[in-house]
Amino acid sequence: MIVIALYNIKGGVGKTAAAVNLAFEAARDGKKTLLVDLDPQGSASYYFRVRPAKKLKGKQLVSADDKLEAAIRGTDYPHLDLLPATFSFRKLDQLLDGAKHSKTRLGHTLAAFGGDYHYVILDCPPNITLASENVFNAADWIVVPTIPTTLSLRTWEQLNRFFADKRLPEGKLRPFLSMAETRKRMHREVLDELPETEPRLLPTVIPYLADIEQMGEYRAPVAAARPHSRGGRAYRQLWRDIEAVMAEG
Amino acid sequence: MEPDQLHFHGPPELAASLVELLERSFAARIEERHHARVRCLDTFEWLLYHAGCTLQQEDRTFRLYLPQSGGAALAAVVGPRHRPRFWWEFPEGPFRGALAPLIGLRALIPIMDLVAESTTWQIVNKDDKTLVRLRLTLVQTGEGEEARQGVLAAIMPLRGYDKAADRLLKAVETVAGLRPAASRFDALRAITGTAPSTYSAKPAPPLVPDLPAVEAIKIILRQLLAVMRANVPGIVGDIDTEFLHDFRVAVRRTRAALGQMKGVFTPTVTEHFRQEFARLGQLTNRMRDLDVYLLAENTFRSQLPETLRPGLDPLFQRLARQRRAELRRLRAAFAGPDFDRLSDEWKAFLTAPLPAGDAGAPNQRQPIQPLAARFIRRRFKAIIVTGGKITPRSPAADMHRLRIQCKKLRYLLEFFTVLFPPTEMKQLIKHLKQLQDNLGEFNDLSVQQEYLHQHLDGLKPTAPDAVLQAAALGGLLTGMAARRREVHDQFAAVFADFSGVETTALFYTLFDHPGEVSP
Repeated sequence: MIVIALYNIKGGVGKTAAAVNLAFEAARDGKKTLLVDLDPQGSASYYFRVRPAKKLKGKQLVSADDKLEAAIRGTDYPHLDLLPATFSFRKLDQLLDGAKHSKTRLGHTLAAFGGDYHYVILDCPPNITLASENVFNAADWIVVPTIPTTLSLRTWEQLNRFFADKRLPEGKLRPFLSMAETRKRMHREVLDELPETEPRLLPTVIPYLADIEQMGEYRAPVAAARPHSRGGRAYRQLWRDIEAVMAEG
Repeated sequence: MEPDQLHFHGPPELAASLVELLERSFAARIEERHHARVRCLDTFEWLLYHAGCTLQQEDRTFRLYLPQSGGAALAAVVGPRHRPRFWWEFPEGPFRGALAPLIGLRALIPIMDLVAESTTWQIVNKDDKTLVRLRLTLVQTGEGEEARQGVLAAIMPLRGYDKAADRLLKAVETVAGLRPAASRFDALRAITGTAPSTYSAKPAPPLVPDLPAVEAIKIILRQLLAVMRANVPGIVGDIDTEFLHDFRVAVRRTRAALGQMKGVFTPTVTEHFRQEFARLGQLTNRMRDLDVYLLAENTFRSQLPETLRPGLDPLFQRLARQRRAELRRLRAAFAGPDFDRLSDEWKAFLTAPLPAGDAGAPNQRQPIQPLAARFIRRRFKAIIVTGGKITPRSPAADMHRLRIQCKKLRYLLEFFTVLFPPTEMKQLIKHLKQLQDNLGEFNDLSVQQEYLHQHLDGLKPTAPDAVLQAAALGGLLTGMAARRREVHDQFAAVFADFSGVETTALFYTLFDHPGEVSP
């Protein structure tokens, strides 16, 4: 089981779109994949047309409960399952706060029921909370969508500082440039400069595309709904980058 | 993981009923259509099927379905003109890794060829999310009068949507004439009328303790004859080396049964058929030797450093040439009347009613169990005597003699297994097998060493690569000599284990019958 988290301190960076499309690519290669929708907004679940799990409580994420496993739904696509979001995941932090080993609980839960899967992909809520610390511990790789703007780069630096302060392995972090618009001057500058200064940057850039933005309308991974689209190809390429990173270890 | 699929089959006209059912009672639409020529493959004795696996070929893609894999397959794609028959002819990877232990030295042969036209329907909810799928496949096989048709229905549930799957299942079950099948493959078999192979190289004879000896032995011998006959087409067709191997084992077992069961047949009959079957065995000796060398090619090569390996090329080229010639000779021999004549004569003898009186065959009406026990005990004692005399300085011929005696005991134990307690018999055979493995390896090494020496002697020093060849052969011979010494040294311990208290006690408990009259 390899756990890959999609995470950014900031919201609205194309994180859920990346989680959905990367999970689709992982499963497309025949590897059993589970997408875990940890974001209480439940956008990943919405994209796969899966309703929020009514009976699922955040508590079960903390206590390795059988009900959690029963909440898993098969998506319309081979080898790809989804653990849908629930509104009570909002309370995850409070729950974790009361639990023993509060920083590694999530990892234990995933290991308990995720063993059937080759990949577990986490769509994480923003902000730095106890829940995100759990994610940082549980994940083998943390993929960070980053918009090519100064503000976005600052949150990337904040994340690195947080890792340094908490002595978390910064080598797990892999940023990629997301929602890039070459017609914007500032985007162009970051696109030029960041590859020089950040060796962990994944080479593929996900552009700002209507294909991707319209996912909310057609409710499917880009490559499933529009097989030959630029967006679909871009995520496929990004998944290849991540595979290369995993192969190097 | 992915929930199990449920399979049904029926006559082709049921496809329309199923489509009507979907359109009437479900929010269903077609997701995908697929047209394919599918070939199902297995070995001669259906090893894959009996292990719960299926292997299908569609164009250049082979898919191996393992048990409990939830519909997922291991796949291998081969080159356009590549027709792999053995596991080692597939590209390296998980497919090949899984196939190898399943089929061993066996070749894959086509067992069903069909045209499949499938339509996958998805049943959706009001969010347009798929809840369950139904795949309908029209299957056609054979041509003209032989043609058969049917429909295959597979319910493909999705994890977490059990209710929808149940509802679809209940609806499908109302369709009259549709029958459930344990797997997709079983459904295909039902449509095409293909029965799995029941061949076994070692059939268990249905014996009871009181059966008159002659009847029991005839049952065993009839089964062995059936094994021989079943393997001839595979030998002549040169499908794989196991046909000849099984054939030879059946011949050897026949000879052992004739030779060991003293007093069951008259000496004239025994002698006549023993000679006939000895000749039949000899006919195939050379071919088997060549098969063994050629199968060991990779092992031989791996024992040499990379640079010396090309030195073996001429040897294996020569072996391959000799095998082609030998195959021609063997084909001619089986095309001739000799084997059929022997086989018919033998069959007639084995099925003929017992003549009155027992002139020259005093044991023929004895109950089989005590008689078998006596033969087994006698063979065991002989092995203990022969083996006890072997020392590290004994010649190879002594080891060879013991190896033959062990084989005979093994055959007796296997013939009569059903007459004795199964757990103990299994244990005895296990102990014996360890001894046989030691003796077998020693013998193989001795024979191979001799062959390589001969080949080395025949090398012309003026040949262009004579030095390389000689170095390669020398390398192999050195390794073999060392291994042969090792095996020979291990013999004492292996034999001590076999002749130890545990095995001996087992033999005497199982096969000693106090108060029985000695022959």
